[in-house]
Amino acid sequence: MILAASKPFHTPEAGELFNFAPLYDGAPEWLTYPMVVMTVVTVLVGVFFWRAFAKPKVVPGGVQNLAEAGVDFVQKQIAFPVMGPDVGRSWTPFLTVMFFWVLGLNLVGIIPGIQFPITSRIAIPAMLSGIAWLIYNAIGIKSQGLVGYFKNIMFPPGVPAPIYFLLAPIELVSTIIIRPLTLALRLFANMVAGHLLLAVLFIATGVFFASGIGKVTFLLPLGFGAIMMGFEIFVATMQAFIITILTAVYISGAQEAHH
Amino acid sequence: MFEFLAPLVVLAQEAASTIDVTPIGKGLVYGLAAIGPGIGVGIVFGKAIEAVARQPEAQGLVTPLMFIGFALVEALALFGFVLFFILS
Repeated sequence: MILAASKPFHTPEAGELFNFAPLYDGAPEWLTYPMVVMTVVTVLVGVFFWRAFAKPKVVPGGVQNLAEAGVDFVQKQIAFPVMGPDVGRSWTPFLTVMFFWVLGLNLVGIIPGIQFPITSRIAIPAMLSGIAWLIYNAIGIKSQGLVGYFKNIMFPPGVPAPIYFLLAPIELVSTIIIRPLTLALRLFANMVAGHLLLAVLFIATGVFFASGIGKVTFLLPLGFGAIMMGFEIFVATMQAFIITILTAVYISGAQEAHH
Repeated sequence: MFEFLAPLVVLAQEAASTIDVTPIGKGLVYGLAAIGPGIGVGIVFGKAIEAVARQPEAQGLVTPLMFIGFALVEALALFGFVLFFILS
């Protein structure tokens, strides 16, 4: 069978899928396609909440109803169970913005036309986890004092004394170093893996279709790609939820003086 | 006593100097690193679901503990993922 491809298939490296050149020749280095998409998503999230709550009515309608459902979800499922009703209420705005912003940046990975999840570049997850790290350390030091905060991390009560030699360095490294790293990496790795999977499947569809290997072989990666897009929606929502609830857990853990 | 193995050793040495096993290593790093955390995350969430099924009022207590446990267990899998990119 004669292959209908005009030139041999060139396997793209992973960098080609994730690194973008500036938009036009002579553009500043940072003005790439993901930056434009991220700006648009940020503005959209801001405009959505502004339209909803600029002139709130007692009986909500339209955009306010939708946004209230979103805030209610964050408040009842993330803020209140983790932090309690009083503290949770004051943290709800921060957690809501974090959840909806990360959700928007994740979901553009499956919107046809913009199929690139912005959170698959390490900068955004790193920034979010850096902010969360600063917040929970600052709150811990403020509510328990500098010495008391580290003492409570390294020597949790209720542990037999000799274990502290093993437990203290592990706990210190785990709380100060591992937590921000894994918070960022979890979101980053999930989005990179999902984007790579979808890219591989759809490139395979194109290659199978162009080279004409079988009459309908291209339907196999296409169908699987369609299923994977549904899975990517689930992963995007789940990762936004997880990063938000973990930030809430870390903040509330730093706030209570362990007693 | 084992002189008949000498050609095999020469073959292995030649192969070792020319075959690039770095991609195999890179693949193995994350593959093996994902086994333990996979089982661990399953245990953490399974136990949490069992606890809430036995006593639904405990959901507020169990949920933050579940997420703390999940974060610590998944950290190990993420180390493997990072090592894949670090290895040259």
